[in-house]
Amino acid sequence: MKRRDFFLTLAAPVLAAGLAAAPALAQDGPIRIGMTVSSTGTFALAAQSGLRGAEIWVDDVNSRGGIEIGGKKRKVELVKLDDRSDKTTVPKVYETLIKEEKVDLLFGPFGSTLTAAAVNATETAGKFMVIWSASADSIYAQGYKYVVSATQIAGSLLGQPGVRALHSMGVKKIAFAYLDEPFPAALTQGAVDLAKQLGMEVTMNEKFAKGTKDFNILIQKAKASGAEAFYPTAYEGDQMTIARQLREANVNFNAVYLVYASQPQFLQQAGKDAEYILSQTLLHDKINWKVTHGLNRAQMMERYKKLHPNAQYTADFQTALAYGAGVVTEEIIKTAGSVDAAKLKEAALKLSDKITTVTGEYQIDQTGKQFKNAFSIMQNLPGGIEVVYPPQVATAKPVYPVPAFDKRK
Amino acid sequence: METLVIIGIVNGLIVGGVYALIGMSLTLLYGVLRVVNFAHGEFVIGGSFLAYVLFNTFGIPPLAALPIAAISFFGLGYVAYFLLIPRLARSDDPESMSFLMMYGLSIALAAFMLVLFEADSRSIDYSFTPISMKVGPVYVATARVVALGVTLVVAAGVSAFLFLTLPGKALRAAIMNREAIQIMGVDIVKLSAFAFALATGIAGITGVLVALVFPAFNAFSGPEYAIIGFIVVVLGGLGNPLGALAAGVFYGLAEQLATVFLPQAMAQIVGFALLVGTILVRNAGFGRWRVSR
Repeated sequence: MKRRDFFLTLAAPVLAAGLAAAPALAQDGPIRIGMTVSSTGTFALAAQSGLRGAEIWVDDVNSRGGIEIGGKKRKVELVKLDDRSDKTTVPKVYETLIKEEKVDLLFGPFGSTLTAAAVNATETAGKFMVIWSASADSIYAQGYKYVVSATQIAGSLLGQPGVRALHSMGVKKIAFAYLDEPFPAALTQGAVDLAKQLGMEVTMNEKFAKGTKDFNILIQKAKASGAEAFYPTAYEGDQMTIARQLREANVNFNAVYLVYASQPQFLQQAGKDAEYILSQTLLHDKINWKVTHGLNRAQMMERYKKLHPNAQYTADFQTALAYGAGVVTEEIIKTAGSVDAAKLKEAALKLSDKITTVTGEYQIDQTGKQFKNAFSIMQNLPGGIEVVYPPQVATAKPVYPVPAFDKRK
Repeated sequence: METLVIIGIVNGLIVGGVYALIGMSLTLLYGVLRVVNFAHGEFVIGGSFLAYVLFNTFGIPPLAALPIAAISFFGLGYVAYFLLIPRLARSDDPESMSFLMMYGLSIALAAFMLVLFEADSRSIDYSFTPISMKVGPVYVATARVVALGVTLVVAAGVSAFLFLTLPGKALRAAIMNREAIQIMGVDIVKLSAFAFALATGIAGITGVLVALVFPAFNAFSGPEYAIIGFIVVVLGGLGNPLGALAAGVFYGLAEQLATVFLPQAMAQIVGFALLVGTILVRNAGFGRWRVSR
């Protein structure tokens, strides 16, 4: 036997054993879930809130031994990379997660802008992606096969509870404004459509660019349009500026609706500017769903304190969305008995209308779009925040019309 | 519509005043040192955060924070000059290296503020009494009136300094011909350090005004103000502080009035159209200072 053949003869069984062991290792090892988190930039705050929610789920599922697949429990490992809130960075980072980190499935990044950038990479690689915060309807209209919005209601439906609430208060004329980005645009479009369906007059519908720092003229235009209610949609910073400039310009509407106005960050920074503003949220002491899977709100909050004792803010709705998405993911993997993308999607569809998590009921269609998990409407009243809509969970009647700025104490 | 136009003009003057200060400090720096300071926006936002900390930690209101910001940022600028700029002189291509260094400094300062203040937007929960005052048919925020007053005082002070004092005249001379004033015996290093410190001090004051006029800011707001500063500098003529003052007010008025007649989203496009138009038609900007020297 030649020396080369001798080595090949010796090596063959070793190689064969190694190749056979590789899938076994993958099947016994943790389920690796990849996601990106924004350490910097516009989305950093929300992305990090979401990450803390996902980490609560990972901690909970691993404390129960993991997820059962084929009779064996496998723990979950979250593989996180930084996307810097940059949509041009996101596809590369998701490719890294898939090709180099070899994750089994993925969680989306924060928000529609980044998720729309990530989903091409995951679909091209045939990987399943669980979305927890991207609401833009356009994402679900592209024919993607392996995406599921586990907890985030579609953007066209997201702003509708607010319009229903304002309609029930007696608003007949409403002015809209929105930041020209997918999430605020989709939310506003759905809200405008519903307002028209309900017979309300839309007196203004104007977009503004990212980086706009002064909203005085926009506010005056809304007032001049004859609107009773003002419904501008953007992220926290812009909404703080709008709330301050409304008060400074002494422009009074019967109702002002700012999506983020019940978030702890907003309340802490905006102070008196936040009074009487209506908003929406999924997470509040007074909003309690009867969960069928995962921790309930109180348990989740307790776990948040235990895992993140040094977090500057308490858990917010991004935390709940990401936690709830983890719970739904767990059920999908269990039902599929696999991490294969097609099997996971099939399981996700089977589970529609059968899960209630901390954020509400789960219902999707073939596109992966979420139809439930509707937000509750809050109002910042002098005695604290109250749920004012829908009536099933309301804890107080809304103050409408709100007192003029110069009549407030 | 008339009321909206009046509001647009009032806002344009106030917002333009803030833009003018940003542009004036940026153009001073460029004029004397030939350094394009990409980190200028971060210095401005640093001033906003200083006002935020002074108010929330020590209860010092924004108006009282102005001199503190001016002095501390002047000192910071003086130290920063000796840490950063002399090294550029040893480079084969100092102007290109200054681009890279200041861009790096911008990222580093933003990251530093992120570490200190996290990523969320901040706002100073402070209002003057009364919160707004009626000027003709419109309400104007008292904070904005105060900001306009401070802008006028600072602009007048800097202008008087540049035109009536010997160091000010030396600064102008350095802008016009850096080599010639060295022949005249002026210590260019000291003068440059002073220019850097002065520009940074004005940036600190501007930051406090930003917190009053545009209440929300975060660690990453800097580049937005730096971009406005660059537009104003080009409109006013490179290295022309008085041109920058006029250009800032013009830009503020154009931006605000654009939102009256056009959709709000067009306001930024108007700003950039002004920039491109100026470069194409009259690249010396408003000022004739550099052209006629």
